Amino acid sequence: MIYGFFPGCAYQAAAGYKESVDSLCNLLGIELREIEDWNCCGATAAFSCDRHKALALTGRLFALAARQGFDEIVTVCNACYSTLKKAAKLLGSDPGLLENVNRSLKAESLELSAPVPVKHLLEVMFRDREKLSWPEGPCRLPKDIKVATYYGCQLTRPWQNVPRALRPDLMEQLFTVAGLETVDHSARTLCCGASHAVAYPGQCRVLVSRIVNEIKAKGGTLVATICPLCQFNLDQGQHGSYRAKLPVAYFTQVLGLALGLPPAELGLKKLLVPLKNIPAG
Amino acid sequence: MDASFEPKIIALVCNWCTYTAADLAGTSRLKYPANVRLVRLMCTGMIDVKYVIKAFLEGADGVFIGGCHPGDCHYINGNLKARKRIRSVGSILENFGFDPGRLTLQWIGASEGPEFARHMTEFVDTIKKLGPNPIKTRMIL
Amino acid sequence: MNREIPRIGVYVCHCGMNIAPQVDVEQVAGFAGRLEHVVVARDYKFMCSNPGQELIEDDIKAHNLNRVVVASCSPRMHEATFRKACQKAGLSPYNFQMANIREQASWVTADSGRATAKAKDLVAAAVRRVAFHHPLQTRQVEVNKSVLVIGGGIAGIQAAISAADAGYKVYLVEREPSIGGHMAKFDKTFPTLDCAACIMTPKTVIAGQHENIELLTYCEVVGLEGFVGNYKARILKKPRYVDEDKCTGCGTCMEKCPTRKIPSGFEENLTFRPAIYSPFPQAVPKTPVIDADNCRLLAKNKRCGVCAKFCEADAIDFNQEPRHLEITVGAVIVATGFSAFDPSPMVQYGYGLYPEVYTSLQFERLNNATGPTAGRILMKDGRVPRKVAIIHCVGSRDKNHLPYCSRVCCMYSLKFSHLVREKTGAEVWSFYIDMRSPGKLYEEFYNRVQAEGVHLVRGKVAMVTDIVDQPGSGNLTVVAENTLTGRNLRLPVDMVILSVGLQPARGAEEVARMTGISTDGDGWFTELHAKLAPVNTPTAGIFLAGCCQGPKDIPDTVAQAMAAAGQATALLAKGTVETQAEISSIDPDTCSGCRSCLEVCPYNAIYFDEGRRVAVVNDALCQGCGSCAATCPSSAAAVAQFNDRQVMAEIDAILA
Repeated sequence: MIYGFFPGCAYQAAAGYKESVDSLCNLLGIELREIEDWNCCGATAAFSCDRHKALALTGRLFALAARQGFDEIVTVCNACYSTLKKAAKLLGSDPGLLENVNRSLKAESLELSAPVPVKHLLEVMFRDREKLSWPEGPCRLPKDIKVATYYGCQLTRPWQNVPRALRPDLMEQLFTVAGLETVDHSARTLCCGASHAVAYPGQCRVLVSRIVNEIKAKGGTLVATICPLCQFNLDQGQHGSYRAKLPVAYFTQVLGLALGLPPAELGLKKLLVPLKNIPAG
Repeated sequence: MDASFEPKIIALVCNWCTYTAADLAGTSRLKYPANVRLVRLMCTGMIDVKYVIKAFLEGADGVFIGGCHPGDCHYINGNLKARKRIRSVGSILENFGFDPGRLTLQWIGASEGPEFARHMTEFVDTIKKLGPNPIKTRMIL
Repeated sequence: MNREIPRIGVYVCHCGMNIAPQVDVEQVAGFAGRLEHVVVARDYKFMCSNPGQELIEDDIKAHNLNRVVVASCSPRMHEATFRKACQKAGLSPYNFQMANIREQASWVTADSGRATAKAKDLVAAAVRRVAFHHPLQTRQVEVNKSVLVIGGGIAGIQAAISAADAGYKVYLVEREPSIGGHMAKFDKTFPTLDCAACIMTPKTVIAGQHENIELLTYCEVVGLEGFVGNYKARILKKPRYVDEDKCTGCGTCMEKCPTRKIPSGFEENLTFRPAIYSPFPQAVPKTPVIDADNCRLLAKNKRCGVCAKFCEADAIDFNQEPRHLEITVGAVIVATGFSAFDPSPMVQYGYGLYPEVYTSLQFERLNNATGPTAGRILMKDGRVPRKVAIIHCVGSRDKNHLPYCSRVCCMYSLKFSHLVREKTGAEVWSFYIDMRSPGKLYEEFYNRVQAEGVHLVRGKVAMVTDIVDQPGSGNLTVVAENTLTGRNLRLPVDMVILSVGLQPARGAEEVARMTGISTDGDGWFTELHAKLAPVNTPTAGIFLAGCCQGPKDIPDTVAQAMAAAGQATALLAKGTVETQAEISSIDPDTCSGCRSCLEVCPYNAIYFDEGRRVAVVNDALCQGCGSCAATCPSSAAAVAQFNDRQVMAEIDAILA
């Protein structure tokens, strides 16, 4: 499977996200072909400051993707995902906005006729799960590690793009393919407050501990996330807590472990709350 | 397009759904263009093809047919018979020199007053774009 | 056809200020006066008033008029009025035509000049058309003196009793094993807090024992044809596997049945029932039914028959088959009720996820003395809740689900608040969008519940979750905004009640199709007129009662049921109905015998006369849809009052 890939700005520096995505894709036969000359999507901040510039940033991405022959853009970050989806909706429904963006894109001789559909890596992996080359064998994650999924607030809001959007189970279903079972809990789409981690750390801490406590209460010992902002915020948000800490990893790291990839290839050492009891490798 | 062109449109509507919807549009005081003249029939299923052709030959700029939604016909399936008939007359209109867009069939249920007004407004717009019935000029021959 | 020379009178109505001054009625009358065959044309303030009608009657005599046109409102409003006026003056009511210049001109046209021009066209069309009208013949047909009531909830029961008390035979058809409907599940009723069973049971007993009522429970109407006064209904009698005549209703079979773990629909799946069951203790009739899908013998072909062994009356009959009955009735009352909105798709409220989230119907059962907790408000672990949240408008007033207000939920939520306070002393938090309490003694009940210390919070609940911030403070947290204080709220509670909205009953669409009733965008049955014909439908002889027409409370339902019964019995009491004059006929001299009309007639009302080689219309069956007329290649078939000349005259005049 070949996907047009938009890594986003946080990806490279995220705690083992790139390493685990690379190893896992290599294993499953996925090629993520990076959109050449991509730029920052602007995230939510750009839309709050200047809508035209925000649309120009995202419009440029769509135009590049289309020119490079991609019929969808795959992201690994909820903020990129939500920003691009919002832009796609605006540009797809308002010809006036599209015209403005094209005026700006002219400087680079780019042209956008229609926005390109946006998908999260989790969504396409789930959609194409039968076309991937899953290795044989049982789940290699030790039985005492109980995984809880965490989707964050921006994957399904307001898109309602998956069934039971407030309590999605894409990750659960994907994990089952690798023989990995998860614990059920109610914090899957609660907001962790990542955007406000710097400005309002106090309020943010309440949100983080609500999610962490819920997962612990339901028996989870490892969180699987799908977004660099969620991962970082949940991971570092526990700093200074007196209670036992909960390791927070990327879904690609968890899946990699379950499929028997060596921990060293998954960048697990970069997690702030360490993940213990994993097979050496 | 002549901006002052005010088309004359015949609407053949069924008593149970579309005529009632027109009444509801009236009761609700919804405004729509005055170009439409309703002819009440009991069912769209009684619309003879010759009514449509007659209307065009007499100079109607458009003919609107309004009946009950499929499944809602007061007479079981008269609306479906109308659809069949209107499709066939639509296909021969072009041979007579009329744009097939001058004839339309829409389902408007009894409770759909706003829908009725919307359809009238849209159809009048469509006909305005198509211009006057060509027969009016051709008859001068 | 004798071609008398038309002498037409035209009357343009002002309708007070409704037609005039938007339409220049004097100008329209003047214009009409110059049309061919018009002898007299006038305008008048209210044509439908007595002096207005007398104006027509006097003119008919004075000017020897033989045709009349009234330009006023919709014929659906006053056609009958003016036809009667014509008849009074000795003119055939069919020599009359209406031009609708109110609903189609004055009310919908912004520009006065264009409204007047349109009115003139419509009058011209009516005048040209009426010249081709001629008297029509009708016949009197006898009315069958019985009524079919579809649905055995409180609406159907009341309608059946009222019609039966008037002396008419009533067939009351209910698809469930017992009559009673939703009301049988309730505990108390607002605002009086009458015990629902105490006021309902007498009604079900009367319906069960009435000499004029034939109960057809566990039956479904599967076909309806015919016309006012003479409807034929096909009824499917599902096999009960219990002989109604032999069964004494002792209940031993239900006690002995070894299959016991079937979720009880009557108890809203809060508890279980056996495979042979009667939905509730006061069921009418008492005869149980065997649920063939779950019976060991019938479904799994295992050796069982325990019920049969213990039945002293020898009433169990495993060989029963579905049967079809055919009945003839003069009128039909449709009372199919509602179904409660299923809140499972609203994942944010956690119904189906968290055991302590209940629907309103489940909560009714929890309160009911015959329910799973014998009327005590208890949580699933047997504890008494200390804090209860009630969420209004679940599904209702929500463009993603039911766009309308379900009308009863505010009041039953207040009733719940009262019951929780009274029975448990628990804290009650009730979350509403707007409090709606219109009705006799309703506002007073609202005030009373407020005084009982219920927390009423204006705000739609965002989420119900089992994440509880303070351990031990409750099972669930309700997340909401109090829109009056502007504060966000995270409220720990033990129990959540979802006040779900009402939607049309399962299968309502099928009933609508069968009876020819149209439905509105939400699926409720449409009455003939929203204000003036609330229980009638466009099909004569078919009436509506209760929630099938829209959400309503018990008093309104009962009132409507009595009204529907009144309408139906009025029809029956008259004894005869006049046949429709606007039906089809086929001119034998023109008919070529091609039989195209036989194929399109939806009522099989046309037969082929082999002797004369022509098609003939059976006027008792013809409904006047005109399918034959539009199909006939030789124009031999025509519908009276809608023949080619009349329709063409209208088109001609409009385009002249």
